[in-house]
Amino acid sequence: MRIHRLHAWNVAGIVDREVEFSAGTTVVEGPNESGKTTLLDAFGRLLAVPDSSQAKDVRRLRSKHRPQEGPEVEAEFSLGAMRVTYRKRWLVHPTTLAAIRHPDGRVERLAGGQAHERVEQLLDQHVDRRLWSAMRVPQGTGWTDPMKPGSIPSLLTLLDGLSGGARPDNATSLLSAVESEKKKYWTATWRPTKVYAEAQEAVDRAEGRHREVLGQREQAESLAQELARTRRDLPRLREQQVEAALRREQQDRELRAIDEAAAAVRAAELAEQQVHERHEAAKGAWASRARDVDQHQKAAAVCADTERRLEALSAQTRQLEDRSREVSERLEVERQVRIGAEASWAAANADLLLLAARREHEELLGRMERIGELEKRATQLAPDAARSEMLPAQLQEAERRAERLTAARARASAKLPRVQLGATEALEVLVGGQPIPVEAGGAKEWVQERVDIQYGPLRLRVISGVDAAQEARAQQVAEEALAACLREAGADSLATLRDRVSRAGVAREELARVQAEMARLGGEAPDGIGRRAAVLADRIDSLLREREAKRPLPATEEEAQDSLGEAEAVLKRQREQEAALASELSDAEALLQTAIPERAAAQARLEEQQRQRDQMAARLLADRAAQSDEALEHAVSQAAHQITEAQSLLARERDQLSRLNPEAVRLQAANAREAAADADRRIHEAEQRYQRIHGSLEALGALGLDERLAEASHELEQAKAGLGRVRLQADAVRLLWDMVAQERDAAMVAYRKPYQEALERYGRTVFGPGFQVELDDELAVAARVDNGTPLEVDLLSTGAQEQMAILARAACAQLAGLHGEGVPLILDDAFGYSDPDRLEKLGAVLHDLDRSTQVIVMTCVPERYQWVAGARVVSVVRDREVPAGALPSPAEREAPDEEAAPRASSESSDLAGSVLDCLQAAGRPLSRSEILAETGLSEAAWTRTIHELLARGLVVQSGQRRGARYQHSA
Amino acid sequence: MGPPAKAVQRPGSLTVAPDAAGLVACASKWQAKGVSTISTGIRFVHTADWQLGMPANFLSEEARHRFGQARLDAVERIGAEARARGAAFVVVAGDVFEYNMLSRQTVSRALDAMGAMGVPVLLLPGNHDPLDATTIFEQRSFTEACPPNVHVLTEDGPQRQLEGVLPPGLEVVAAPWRTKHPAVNPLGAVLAALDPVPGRLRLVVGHGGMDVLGVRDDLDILNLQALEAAVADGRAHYIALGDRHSTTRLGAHHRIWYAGTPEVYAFDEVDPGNILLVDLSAGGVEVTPIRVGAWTFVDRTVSLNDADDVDHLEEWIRHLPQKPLTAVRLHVSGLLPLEARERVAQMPVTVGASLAGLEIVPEGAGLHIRPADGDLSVLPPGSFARSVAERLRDRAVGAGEDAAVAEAALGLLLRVGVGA
Repeated sequence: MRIHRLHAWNVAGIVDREVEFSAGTTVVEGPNESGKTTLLDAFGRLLAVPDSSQAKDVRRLRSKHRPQEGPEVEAEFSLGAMRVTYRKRWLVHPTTLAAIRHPDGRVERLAGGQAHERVEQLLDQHVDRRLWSAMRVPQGTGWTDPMKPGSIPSLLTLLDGLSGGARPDNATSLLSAVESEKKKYWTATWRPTKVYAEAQEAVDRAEGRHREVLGQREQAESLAQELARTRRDLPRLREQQVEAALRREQQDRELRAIDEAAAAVRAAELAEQQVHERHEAAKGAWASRARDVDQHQKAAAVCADTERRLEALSAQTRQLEDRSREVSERLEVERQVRIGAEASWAAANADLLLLAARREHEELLGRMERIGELEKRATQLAPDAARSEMLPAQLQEAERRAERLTAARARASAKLPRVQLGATEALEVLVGGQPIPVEAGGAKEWVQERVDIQYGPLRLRVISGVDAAQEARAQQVAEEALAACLREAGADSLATLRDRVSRAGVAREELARVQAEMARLGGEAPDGIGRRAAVLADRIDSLLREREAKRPLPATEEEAQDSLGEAEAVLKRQREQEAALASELSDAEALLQTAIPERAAAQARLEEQQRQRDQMAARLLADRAAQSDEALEHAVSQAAHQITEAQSLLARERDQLSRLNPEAVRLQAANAREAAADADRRIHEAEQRYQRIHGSLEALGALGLDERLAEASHELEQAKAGLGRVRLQADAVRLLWDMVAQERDAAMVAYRKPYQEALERYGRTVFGPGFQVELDDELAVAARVDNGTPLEVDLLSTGAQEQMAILARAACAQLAGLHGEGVPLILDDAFGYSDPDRLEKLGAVLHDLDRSTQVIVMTCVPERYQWVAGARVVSVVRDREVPAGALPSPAEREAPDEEAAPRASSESSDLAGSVLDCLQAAGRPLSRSEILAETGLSEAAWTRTIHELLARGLVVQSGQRRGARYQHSA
Repeated sequence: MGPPAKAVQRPGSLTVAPDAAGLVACASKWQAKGVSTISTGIRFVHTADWQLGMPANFLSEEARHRFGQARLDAVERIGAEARARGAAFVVVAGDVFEYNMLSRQTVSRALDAMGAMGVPVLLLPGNHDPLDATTIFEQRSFTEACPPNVHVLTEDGPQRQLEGVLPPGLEVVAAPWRTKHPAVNPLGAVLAALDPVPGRLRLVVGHGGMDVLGVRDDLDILNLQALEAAVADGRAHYIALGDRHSTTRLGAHHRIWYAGTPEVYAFDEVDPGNILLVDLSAGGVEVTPIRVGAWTFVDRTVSLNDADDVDHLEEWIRHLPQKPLTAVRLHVSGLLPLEARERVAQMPVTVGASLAGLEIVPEGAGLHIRPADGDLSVLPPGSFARSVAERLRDRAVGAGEDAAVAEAALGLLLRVGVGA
């Protein structure tokens, strides 16, 4: 894109401004607010905003001088080989006009929305909007913004072409494709995935199955070998069995001979035993006869003894009966005596009771009298005893008052005048008018308040002082108190009171004694005692009436008691004698009771013994009649002879048996039997083992082990092959991944190279020969390298950052201008931070750049760009108010680019046609490379053409990127 | 015994001159029944290596079942041939079964097929089914289901148990294998113990490899010279052998034969699928191979170096006859463009899908990718993807695991790179 001319009417502060730009560098200089930036903004709106827009950005363009007019902009610019004149007016009578002159001279005129859309289309085809934005750095802070070529599609395409198609994002996409394959087999950390694991598991399973079947097959083989061994062993075992059976039969025969000899021994032993038994029987018969004779003789002796005993018992019985009778008679006599003694004791006892009743009667009468006396005395004592209740308290009070009086007197005595009157001879004086005799050598003393002593003409008055008078009054008061107390007690003096108190105490004590005696006497009223005395008198009369009159009554109770004691002693003795006789009688009767049954028993026993003796005698007689004593003796001697013969035969048989050596033969026979049993068992076990193994083999054989083993082997081979395929694919993916990654890294280096070279070439011009840069993933400058030392861009000075940013854009612009359809580099008041030296060097860069790229500089400081050789300088000034009519109205302005007559052919249409023809002929979707190969289009032409065809809907695209295919929409 | 004389050669058959010693005819019940005797000649079928129960794992799952049935069908066809051609019996010279430990089902089906043959069937235990402790011939699965016309040759030497079963005047001598790996082939000892049998015909049945036929150095291998001597001195009039799966005649007297397997068993067999109809008489022996096999195993080695080669190979496969009964093993080598290589890899599911099996195995260095210009053209020249492809192509050259990995990686790159 190249801008030839800009014309603005009524845009912000611009009334009418037209600027023409050279193909190289154009410096638009002018003061602030002269509309430089506004002109560029208006151009931007022209390209992007429809005339119908009322957006804020559009409203900002409204003229300050002629707001009634709509802002209007016209630009003339080239897009590829086409030259476009494009005009728009907004807000007031919106208008869009476009005249597009094609290389063949044809002019395409459009208006309104069509014009807008057509120009949009052309811009899409020819201008990378991002590049356009990046190359137009606005006034102000934008200059230090880093340039990021990696985000600009057209630059990337350029770099892709310049690096031979090594565009790293293609590498990345391939890497992604490979990664999706990789994920089938590998995790992010290169661990095998499920597919891999499953293949391995399949092998493991197959190996397990193979092992299992192989194990069974080996077991079968082992069984087969064991079966073969058993089969080989069987004949030998059968031979052993036969030999053992023969040995056992031989031993059995010998055993039978021994058994026969043993039976003969047992028969001889039996015969001997029978003879012994007969001998014993004969001896028994002989002994039985002797025993019978002896027993008969003994029975006769026993009968004689019993007869003697019976006689003794009869005599003893008779004696006992006599004695019993005698004792019984004596006992009766003693009983009568005892009855008399009992009557004597009863009379004596009655006498004693009579006397005792009399004594008690008299005592009751005496007690009744004493109680009467005591009651009388108590009555007498009661008043005094009653006074004794209160007198002690009155005495105590009187004593206390007397003490006070004594004290008062002592104090008065101490203070009252003590008048002592002594006389050498007896005299009488008047004291207080009262004559007082005084003995010779004697003395009188007065202690009182006032003493008037008159002796003779002498009158002595002693008067006490005031204190003494008070004490005297106190004493008087105390005396009055004592007197009052004594009056209350009824005593005339303290001593009287004391005496009365003493007497009252005596009366109380006596009363207590009287009362105590009354209590001792039972406290019983005299009436009660009288009634008891009357009862006793009746008792006495009764006893007297019952008493035998002629018998004298003892004088005293003691005599009566003695008589009773004597009667008791006689009665006791008589009772003892009676008891002794009763006991004797009882003993005699007991002996008699024993003797009588004993005598009867002896009589019965004698009768039984006599009966047995008679029976024995009869049996012995009968036995002797059957077999005499001599015959029995002969049988015994004959049996003894037979015993000798039987013992001889037994000895012979035993000797015969011993010669056959039965113990040894039995041992051998037992051994032979066991050996035969062992042989039988071994053959049985072997046969059973054979059957068991055979059965096991049958069972295993029925499983078809060999078939299964073959199958398992096949499965294992298949699984291993599967694992091998997976492993091969996995290894292939890994190899491919590694290679693609390596290539991607290499591609990144190659890809950056053209841009980096362009940037470093300009950089060396400005910063010196040691300048290099480091680029990041977006190809932005990450660091400036000065002579090998990197310095991050952020750490550079503001001026250097600005210079780096402009150099980066210059490099991009140069690449775009040299190798594609570039866009103008527009610098709006840049280089504000650059020193003159750097400005000069930057001027050289811009001069070099404008050979391939249009450079437009807006500045209010034209000196900054004086070093740009060959630059066209356009000066602008601030517009002032223009009167209406001074300018042509919009309607009067000519249509854009009348000179741009249409030319005959359209290159674009030809290219599009060739692509359409190609697609139509193919009849199937074609890839980009196929279309290029068929049509011979260049890369740049391809991009334009396919965009056009897609936009027109003539071609339909399916897939993306390398997978993109294109097909004719028809 | 001299060289063959008066041989009446029929197509596909061999006739041997009568023994010099001559043989005495005998009238017997067999003659009365019109059955062959030594005077009229005895006709029987010689077959071997049925290998019943063999798992053909190289075949597809579907074909494996058919192949198993085909082997049973072959037994039935043998019976049919025997009956149709008046054979007195069929002798199977070993390896009736593939293994001793087979499922009851397999054994039952085999015995059913044998029972249906309608003639006596003599089975010789071979190295696959020896008379060891696990022998299948003593398992209940066999003994309980064994039809009355089936007889196992269990004795070393003359088979007395066959009296009344076979035509009079014929003695069958066998050398059953008693272990898979005997120290020597039992047939040697059996032959050594024989004397000539004037007036009778003697059929010797043995099993094992032959010293003149291969590089086998097994201890159990047979010595042709000893067998020839037995034939020459009249101890044997026909030696029916098994173990070799290809029909093979041995010795100057033409009386020593391997029948081969009646149904093809392996790719390396030369002439399988036959049985031998043997006419043995005092006058000589005539052996006629009869085709009974239905299946074909084809082993082919091909070098593939461009797409045309692959085209030709595909064409060849397309034109194979009886494809459902045909298994092919291709030994391939060469360098192919990616697309062609992929075609080869896909053959089992493309042109080979109708075959019973198509196995592709590398021959020599094997088959590798040689990316053609067209293969790489989808990758822009100079692009890193192109660079990767070229590196992989260089690395994929030659054999070895690295090359295989590189080749697989290249294939992957070409598949995903186009879409990336």
